[in-house]
Amino acid sequence: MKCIRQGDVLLMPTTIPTDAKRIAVRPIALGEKTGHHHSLMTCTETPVEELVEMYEKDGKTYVRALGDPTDVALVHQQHKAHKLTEKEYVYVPQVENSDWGTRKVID
Amino acid sequence: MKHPLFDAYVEACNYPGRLDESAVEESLSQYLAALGMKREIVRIRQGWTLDALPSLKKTVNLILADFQKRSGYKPAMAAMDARAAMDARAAMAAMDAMAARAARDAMAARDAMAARAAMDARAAMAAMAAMAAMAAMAARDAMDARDARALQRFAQWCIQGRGWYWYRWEISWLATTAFGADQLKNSTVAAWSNPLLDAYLAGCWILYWTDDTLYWLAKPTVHIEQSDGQRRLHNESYAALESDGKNLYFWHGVLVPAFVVVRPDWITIDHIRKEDNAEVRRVMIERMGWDRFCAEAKLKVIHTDTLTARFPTLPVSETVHADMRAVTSYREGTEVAELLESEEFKDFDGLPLKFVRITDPSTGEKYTLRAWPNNTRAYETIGQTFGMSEKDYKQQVYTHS
Repeated sequence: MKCIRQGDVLLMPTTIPTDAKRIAVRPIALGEKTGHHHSLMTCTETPVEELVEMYEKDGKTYVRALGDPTDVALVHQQHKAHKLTEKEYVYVPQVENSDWGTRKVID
Repeated sequence: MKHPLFDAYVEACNYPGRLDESAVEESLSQYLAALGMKREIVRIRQGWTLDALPSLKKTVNLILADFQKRSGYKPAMAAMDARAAMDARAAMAAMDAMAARAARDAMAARDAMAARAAMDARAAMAAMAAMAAMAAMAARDAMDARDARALQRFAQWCIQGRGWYWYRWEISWLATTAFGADQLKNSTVAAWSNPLLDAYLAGCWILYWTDDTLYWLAKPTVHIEQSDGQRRLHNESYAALESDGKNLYFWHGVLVPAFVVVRPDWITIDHIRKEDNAEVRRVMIERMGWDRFCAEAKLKVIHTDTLTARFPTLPVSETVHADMRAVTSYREGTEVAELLESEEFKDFDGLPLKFVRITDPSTGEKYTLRAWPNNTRAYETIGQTFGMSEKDYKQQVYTHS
């Protein structure tokens, strides 16, 4: 299994549940204090919306590469880009401990 | 052929640039006339108060009342939706005029896109986007306190914290419609977009509509640093965005409270512990100084470990800028992580607070995340932050930044 980590975003290879709901392609995570975002982009002529699909189920976000996954990269304004290598991923947000229990890392 | 004012527009994206107040207001009058709307035109000046701007005060109170009605769901979205509803009511006619298909085409036309240059104008937009995230805080603060200062802060957010809505009334963006209208020979759109372009060239930055007034803000002063080919907001001694609407303080691109920049000696361990945002926490520790942070929290390193993984070889500037080129090769690199334990601070169960400190291999920044009390190894904590065991994390994180 080849996970991709970019800051507080981890893309973990998975099989997308068949009953996951299709959603519009959008940034995977937003930085609240920087205006930055972790997003899928492509260097090909084809719009990224035609190269990937996104799904949601039970609060989890999934990504499916439709063609060659390496046509698509996970990018961020301050991090280096990563080409996808697998067809399907689930987004795992980073969490940390707090006085009130485990919470999502906010950046 | 290039629009005759294209070069002037590019020059005007260097802020604050020229400010000709009467020329701005004359252009905005023409803009209103082209839309067939009547509004009083009022500049929001430095030191403004809501009491001196009654129409704005009325609108902000209406937004708050609407927010209260919507408070049954996510506060940030409720605040944004409440403001959007008011925007729509106050500027309905203008929105109708601009939402026309022809206007959208003009905004998307090649010449208009080309004009949206990366200069101070874009940095100021980034500041607005960062401020937008303060939605919930600003609204709750204003509702809880109901005092003049809290309401003023909420009004500042309404005007300047546009986020996803910034593009409606941020003039560096909207004015480029004039280039698209010229390219497409659309005289209807040109009739309102040319006066907006003139207003921008004369120093106008943001518009804010109410039922009877069109408020405007002059362009801010922005302080930028160059880093790895990128421009980001930063000022070591004062606000990075000096605006008549609200000054915003940034530390290497991160929006922080003013005291973090101007009075780092005021930062306490308690500030850091209570700060929810990991980026702001990182900046607070950096400003406080790692040595002082460790000393005051009485932190000791209880475990150090490394992770060797594949890191992209290309610099950030070559991978995520305009053409979004993807990385093509990787190098092997090593990340260092430390698990720290505080003798000074305990959690609610009386157990010492633990943190994990990681050097981000992509940005070079050092991050500190709160660990769980039973953690004894650095990568046990990091794996747990992604719901994985230490072994799985080390084996499965294939590429990294």
